[in-house]
Amino acid sequence: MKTPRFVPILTAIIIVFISVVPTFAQNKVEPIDIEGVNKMMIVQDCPLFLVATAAWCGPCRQELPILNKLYAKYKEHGLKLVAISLDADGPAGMQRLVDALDLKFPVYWAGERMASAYNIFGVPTILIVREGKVQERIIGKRDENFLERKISSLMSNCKP
Amino acid sequence: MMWVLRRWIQTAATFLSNAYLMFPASRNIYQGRLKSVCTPGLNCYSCPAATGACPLGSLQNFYATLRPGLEQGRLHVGLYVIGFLGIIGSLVGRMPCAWVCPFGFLQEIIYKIPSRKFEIPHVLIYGKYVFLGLFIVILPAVVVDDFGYGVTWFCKYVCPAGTLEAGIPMLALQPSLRELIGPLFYNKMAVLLLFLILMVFIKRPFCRVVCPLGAIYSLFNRVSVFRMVHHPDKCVLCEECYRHCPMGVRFYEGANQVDCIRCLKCYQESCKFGAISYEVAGIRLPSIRTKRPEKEAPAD
Repeated sequence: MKTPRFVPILTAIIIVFISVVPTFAQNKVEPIDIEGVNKMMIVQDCPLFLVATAAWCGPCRQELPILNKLYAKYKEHGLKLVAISLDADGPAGMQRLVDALDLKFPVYWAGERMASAYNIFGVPTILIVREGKVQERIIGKRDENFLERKISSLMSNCKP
Repeated sequence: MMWVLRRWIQTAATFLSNAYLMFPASRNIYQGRLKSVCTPGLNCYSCPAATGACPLGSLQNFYATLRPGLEQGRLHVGLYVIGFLGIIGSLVGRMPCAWVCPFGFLQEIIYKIPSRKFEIPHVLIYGKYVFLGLFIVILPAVVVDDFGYGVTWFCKYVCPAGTLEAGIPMLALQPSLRELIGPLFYNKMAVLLLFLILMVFIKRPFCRVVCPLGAIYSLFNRVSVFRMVHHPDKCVLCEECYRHCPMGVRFYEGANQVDCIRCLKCYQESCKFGAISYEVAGIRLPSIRTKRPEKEAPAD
């Protein structure tokens, strides 16, 4: 039986499509170095919520959907929320989580060096940053009420 | 004296495993390069002073992340831990329990508190294999969430070393953690308290009944390069070895039993009849005994 001519080219197109699709993911977990994190911390007006997280961490996987919900609610009020993955072996693990949980806020991968650079001994830890400095640390998983109270209190003086 | 040497080595190993003395200032755990190396004894990774990783914690983490690890082709950390324990076990068996494990050392110290002493039913010594199979391998690997990640069951629900070395000190260093105290912490505190009490009355209760690390090493006792040797022809069944043994082992029932931690106390301090010796790769080492068999008075 003769193979139709379009089969090879169609197969090739499908392979290319499959390999390229992840790069067009809506929220790609990009690598970032400590210098990049330092630059990100220079924020004006509104505080930055820097979430140290990891794909292997159970409490982090429970907290990320809560943060996603609060981000959707307070984004227009000027909430700046960024997650940094501390996973040792690259961004792939966190990318699976970002896709599955449909996280809307930016997520970067810095690896374990982030822990020593910012004195983080456990995940999740939320660093609340104002004018380039860590003003507060929220260590461990917190419930929605706690996080919403914290965000809304800090956003009250914020100019979106 | 062998026991003085062993105490020195135990003390040195405890300090070397917990040599990060900057923690009161940094209020954090050590996170340098050494942390990627396992310690041979049970010493919590999250202890503020810990310089190395706990092999049990690393092993559980391997099984808890086995599915994502297989998907992403990264198993090197787990294989490193298994290989590390295999090398130590095949060289010296359970010897690290006696010489370098900080938690074993603590149990020996607490047992010195004067009190009435008790023995445990022999069948309980097999409990550690249940903890090894269930809490280290099966539960972390099988009970997983939607993303394929499991939980480090032994660290989370059982390990009293973790509560003592990490849970309590970290609460002191990081007051904000106190807001997270809940039933899980009280459960861990109860387990720690139970073992601290048992340690006064029973020889090394955690090592004998629960410790999965000891269970792993014990599998190598009969085949390791270093082995104990029993000479039944010289043994008079006086039970001196049993009375001195920190693990309650009756050596005369068989050398290299699963609970023999090769502390050499029976060899050095107990047996006056030369019924106990040891060998390395089948070669009997020169005697270092200090006590000599007492000569019988010549008959008139």
